[in-house]
Amino acid sequence: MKGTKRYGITALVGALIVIVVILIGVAAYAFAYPPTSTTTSTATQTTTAVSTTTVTTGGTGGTQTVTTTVSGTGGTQTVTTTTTVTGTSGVSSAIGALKIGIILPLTPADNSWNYNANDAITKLQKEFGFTLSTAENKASGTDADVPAQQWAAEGYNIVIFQGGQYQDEANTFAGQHPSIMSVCVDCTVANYSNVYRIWLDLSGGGFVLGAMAGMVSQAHKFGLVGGGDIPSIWEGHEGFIAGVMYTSPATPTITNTFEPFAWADIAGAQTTATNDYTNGADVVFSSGDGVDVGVLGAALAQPSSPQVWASNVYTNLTAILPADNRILLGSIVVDYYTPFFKAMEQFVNNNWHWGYTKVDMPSGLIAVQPGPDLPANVQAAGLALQSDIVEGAIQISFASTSSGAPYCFANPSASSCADSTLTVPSGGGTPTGNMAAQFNYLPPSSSLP
Amino acid sequence: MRTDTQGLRWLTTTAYNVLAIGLGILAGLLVVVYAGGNIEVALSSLFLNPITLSGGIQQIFVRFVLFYTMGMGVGLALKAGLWNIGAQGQLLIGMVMVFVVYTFLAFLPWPILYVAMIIGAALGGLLWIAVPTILRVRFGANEIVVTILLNVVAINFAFYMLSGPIKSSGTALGFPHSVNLPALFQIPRIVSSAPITYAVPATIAIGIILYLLVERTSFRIKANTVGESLETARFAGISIPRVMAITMLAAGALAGLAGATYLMGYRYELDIGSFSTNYGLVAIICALVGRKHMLGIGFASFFFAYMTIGAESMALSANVPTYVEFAMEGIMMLGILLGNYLTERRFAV
Amino acid sequence: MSIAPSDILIGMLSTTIQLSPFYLFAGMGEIVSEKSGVANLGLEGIMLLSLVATFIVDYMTGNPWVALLGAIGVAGVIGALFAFTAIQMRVDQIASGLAIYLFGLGLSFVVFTTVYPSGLTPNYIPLPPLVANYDKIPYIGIIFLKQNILAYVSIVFVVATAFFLSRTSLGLRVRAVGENPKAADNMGVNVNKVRFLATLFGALMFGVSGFYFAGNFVPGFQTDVIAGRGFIVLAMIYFANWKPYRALFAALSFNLVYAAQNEYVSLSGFGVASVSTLFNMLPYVFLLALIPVFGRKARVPKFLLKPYRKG
Repeated sequence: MKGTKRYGITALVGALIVIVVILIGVAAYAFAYPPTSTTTSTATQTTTAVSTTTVTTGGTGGTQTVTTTVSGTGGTQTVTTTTTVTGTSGVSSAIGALKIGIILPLTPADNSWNYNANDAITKLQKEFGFTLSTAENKASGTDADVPAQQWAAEGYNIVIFQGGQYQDEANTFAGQHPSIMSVCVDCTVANYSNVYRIWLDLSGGGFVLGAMAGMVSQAHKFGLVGGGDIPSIWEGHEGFIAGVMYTSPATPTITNTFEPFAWADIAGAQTTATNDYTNGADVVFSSGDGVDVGVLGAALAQPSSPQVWASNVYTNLTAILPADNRILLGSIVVDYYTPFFKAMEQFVNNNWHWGYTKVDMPSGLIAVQPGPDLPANVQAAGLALQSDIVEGAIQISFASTSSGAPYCFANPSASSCADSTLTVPSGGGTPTGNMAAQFNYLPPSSSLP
Repeated sequence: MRTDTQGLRWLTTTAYNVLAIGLGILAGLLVVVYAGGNIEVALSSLFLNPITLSGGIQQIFVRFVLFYTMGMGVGLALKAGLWNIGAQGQLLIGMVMVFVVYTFLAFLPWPILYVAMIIGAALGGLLWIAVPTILRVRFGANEIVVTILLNVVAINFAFYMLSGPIKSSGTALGFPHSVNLPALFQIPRIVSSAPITYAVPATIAIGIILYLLVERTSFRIKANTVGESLETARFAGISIPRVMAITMLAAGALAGLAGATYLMGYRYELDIGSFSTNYGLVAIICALVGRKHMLGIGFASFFFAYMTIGAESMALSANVPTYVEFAMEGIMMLGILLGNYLTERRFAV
Repeated sequence: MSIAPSDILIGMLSTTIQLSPFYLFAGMGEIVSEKSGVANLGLEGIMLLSLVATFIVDYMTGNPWVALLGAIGVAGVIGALFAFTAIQMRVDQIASGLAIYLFGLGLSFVVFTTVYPSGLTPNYIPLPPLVANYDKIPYIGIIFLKQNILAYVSIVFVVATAFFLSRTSLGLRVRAVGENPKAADNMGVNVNKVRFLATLFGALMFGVSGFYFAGNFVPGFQTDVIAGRGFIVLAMIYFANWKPYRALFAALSFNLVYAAQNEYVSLSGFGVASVSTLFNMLPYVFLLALIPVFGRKARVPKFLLKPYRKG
């Protein structure tokens, strides 16, 4: 017996030593052969053929030809991207040399906030060939700090914090790394010159959707589901409510819910929306990623008659999921491609400090894509109102407190903030009533197509 | 005195543990390869980044403290055969209590308030496990089931507190989060240049104290007997309710305490990012790998602190989702359990 | 609020019946498994893996029934692995169950992101409702006819499980193996084989649960989307004393409380998220409150969690 034991132990210790040696060897290999820097794009391509792509960019005002050559055998691949640009030549190659990281609160599977940002940045990456790294599921600023610091150590130039919850972290990070552009999407505060803010205003989109909803609804009952009670989302909700009050022929019943676990709560949003529909609402407005997923799912699960409608934000659902058209009131489509590109362009041109881009309807960066199955007159009305907003004829504003937050967001129970009346003068003009959203002018609703 | 067989047995189990860990790492690398990531980058991130990246060493010690404190609690309860699956919930309650004390007992002078915050956290964890303890000791209700339910309740409760009583009117735009603890209420570093706070030696001290109190006294035998067979314990005259209550309450208090050291030593504020973590589970793994030994858990915690940070870094570098870390942990845990089984078989009497 | 009370009630009942089958399938599976002496804490991991299999197969084939097969298949493989380690290799069931949970949690999301890196997926095609124009039929339509057939299969399973455990010889063997494996062994029952089959059955049920989650709870896959609901099943069957009909009651009442508080929160227009989390706790507190109602000491299968060694 003792002999067997000894044999067993020797074999085991031998196996242990072999494993340890292998692991040490592998770690040593990692030490000795640090990753080479000849790759200019993340190694997700495994093609071995030469491919040529021709891309036309809107931002630089010129045409570029991008040729991607992949060569090399075995484990290492060398990807060289050569760009021939006519027009502003230096910019594209300068952007191609950048290292950019983006931090997402959820994952691109939400067909909304995260999908849109990821889609925009990967399109840019395919076009310009910079190094892109993505960190997903970072619920808060402290979680976002870990990948951000890693990127800073790896020499990244731009870090995009995709969400207002990262505002504090984006500023702290900017203070620690003055040469890195800290892009903060949906942030209001910038404490350092290297914080580049992209601020979102959904009120125009909400208003257009609300106006269409008011026209198309049969039950005159509306639900709103939001994730996270923050100013930009709240403004979108208020815009929608104003739109409904503007066009609804009967006094509307409105239920406004903010999901407790915010954007990630798909199941909660789906249940809330299903409740809303079962309680008789036939339009539900949703304002953000996981919540969008839940609300759309609830709408799709409803029977085809009576007709119900749901909306989504950030992505053009008609373009990516046409099967959803039968319940789609419309999408508030947000263009992140342009603001991201603008940030990169300003970075390489070195005029990016205290940078700020407002993403809203008047700037053209937010547009409403009406649902294709809406009646033609409803779609036309929505587009008419949208042009009014883009041309500046209709302006939506919110009274603000001294700290810059919307007054009615901070004081929801104030009497002037109650969303109970919106009266438009008979010939058109400045509307009156208790509304958080203020309008300079609205045409009479009878004049809509 | 370690006999020959005991030493051999320890060596065998350790060997199998290393094997299991190697398997887990291999699985992670397989995912990297399948996703088209770069192996060299992945390996250097896994092994080197925790030390080379700025903030890496701080993270290692923060997690070490977290896993060790919670793991000791889980391990202690495990000795008596009780599973504290509710460690995550007790951790959250501990974190909430830190700010509850900070907000509502703010009139206390600084040194007392500081200590009160820490004690409050431990007390919170203890109270949170009190219900399962009572149900188990008095009514025989299985503690696993009750603590799992309380975990969910804890998340909801913590969220409610965070959105209301302990909410700060800060600049994070309506996302619920607490105030930031000023420097006076943070756990200071030992030396300002090295990112190690006093929490580290304090935790090690607790580990040593528990080792002396539990491993070197008759309590170890009492707890083990209760864990192995209730009838034997009854025959031996051991007060089963007392052993169970002590181990479980201690486990809850330790988990709550972990919340205090985590917040006051690293995070300085409470936000929803802390709610979706899996630290309770990793603490259970550390307790199992450390074989329920108060000092062994320390080594396991340090290893897993290093490994989790390395795995997350590897996932980031290789553009692979960080969730791969959980799959790796699951495989490691399975491998460790199988290794224990094989050792038992080899040394079966 | 001009919403009729009858509408609210209908909504609540409809939600209850929509959500309960998830807990019922898993509950029946776990009851059989635990009656034989094996507790499977990895159920949520198996559910997540089945869920991601459901979505992927459904996206690729467009056929939910094929997706159901895929879900059951995946669950069977993982369940067999767990059963083998817990029964034949006699490792600690709770620890290995948690390991399976971690493994499923990580792998499910990694698989999903690898197959759909941009996150863009087709629409999930669910099982059709029982009656196509269910909304035409007042009251009964929305509550009962909107559900898909699997929801009612779950009720059949409850009855079948109760019958199986109490009236069939195999069911008797399953119970014997959990209460007194030595005696069962002496009577010639292959203890480990019966346990293996029971645990495997449990895992297959978790696969069906995972399939049912798709479309009824969420329309798409996200990280950790089941969010602890699988573990709640453990509590349900515990407080139901491992009796199928009591588990049915537990599941229905749990979901009724959930639906009620959900309705109340949306209707009262709290707006402020914080208070709704207090109401979120109600279903779980309700389960805890069931302890004194259903008797203090649960009649745990005597040899639950204890592996059996022959001879």
